Amino acid sequence: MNNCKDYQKMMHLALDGTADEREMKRLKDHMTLCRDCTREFRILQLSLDLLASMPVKEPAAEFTSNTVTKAFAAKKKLLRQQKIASWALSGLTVVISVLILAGWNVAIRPAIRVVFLNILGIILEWRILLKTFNKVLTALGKYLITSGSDAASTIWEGCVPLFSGYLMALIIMAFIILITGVKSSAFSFKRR
Amino acid sequence: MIQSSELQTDLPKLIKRACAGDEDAFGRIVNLYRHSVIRYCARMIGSSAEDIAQEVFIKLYLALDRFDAAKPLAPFLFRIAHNHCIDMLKKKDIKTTPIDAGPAEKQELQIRDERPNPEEMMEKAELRYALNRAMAAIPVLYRSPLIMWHVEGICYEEIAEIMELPLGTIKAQIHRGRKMLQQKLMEFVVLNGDLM
Repeated sequence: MNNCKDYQKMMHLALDGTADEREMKRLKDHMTLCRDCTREFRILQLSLDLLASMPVKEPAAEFTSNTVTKAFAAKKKLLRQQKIASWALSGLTVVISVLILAGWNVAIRPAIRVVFLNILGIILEWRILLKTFNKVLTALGKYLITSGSDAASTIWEGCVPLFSGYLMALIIMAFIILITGVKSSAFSFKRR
Repeated sequence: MIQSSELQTDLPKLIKRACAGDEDAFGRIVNLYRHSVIRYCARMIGSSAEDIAQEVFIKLYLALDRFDAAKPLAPFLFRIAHNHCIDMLKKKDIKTTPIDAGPAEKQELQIRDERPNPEEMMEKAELRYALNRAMAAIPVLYRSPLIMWHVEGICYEEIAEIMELPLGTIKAQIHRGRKMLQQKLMEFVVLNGDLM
């Protein structure tokens, strides 16, 4: 047994024109019994009919001519603005080209140099760090393993750069794992 | 939708002529759609519909170069009108009053009282007043497709094209808009019934 809510849905289907004959008949049958639904449907139908037929003030006689004049004026203005913009852009391009060609790139060079030096600095610092690491390992090796033997000391010194490189890589990897691990755990915590 | 006249068949030619700078051709396009656009703007915003419609036609002319003349113009024009009305509502900061779903039960109880027919109870002018107020209270999102469907007689597919939304969403919006309208009008009926 359908309740009024189901018939309200049917009302909208009927207004859409998508209700089939069976649904229309059921709705009509229900409305003969239910005053509330009848009233609701009538109000809705009447409102929609009124909405469609409600008169709108007739536009002024000169509406079309005014609109056309304004539209053509707006188009002219737009074209003028576009022309000015394109001229300005062309002018700017020429000025920039001239400035570059006239040697203003000299002014730009220091900036590039700064960036380049920074990158170089990072590489150098890395090398300094490696060298320090090498020295520490060499000293440690000499003290713990070689105990003064020249041959062993030479072998150790040869191996130190490899070891130190390997160790540095391990430290970096551990650092990355630590960071990503912390991040992923924080993420999983948030999601939970 | 809109008028089906000889002008409609000549429309691609008129559009091309208007793009080439023929004022008369554009004037005929304006004449063809002015009533629909003014009506739509009036239902959407209410006041100064004519000025807003004029701005819509100006925007149409500025965008006409980009329009494919082989396609129907009405959805393109109504998309401009829809977007322009939304912009205007945002600029004016006119906030549509939200429909509160709260008093539904109360309404139902009151409606169950013995009441005369709505047609007997309300004069058409009163209903018109209530309708205007109810329409203004419906959020733009639902008001616009409702007007397009019930006032302009634009089909669902074209409304979906105008509003750039899926067909199902448009159907749902129209359905919801109609429900809101019904709710608001029922409130009016209840209120008037109490007063009477």
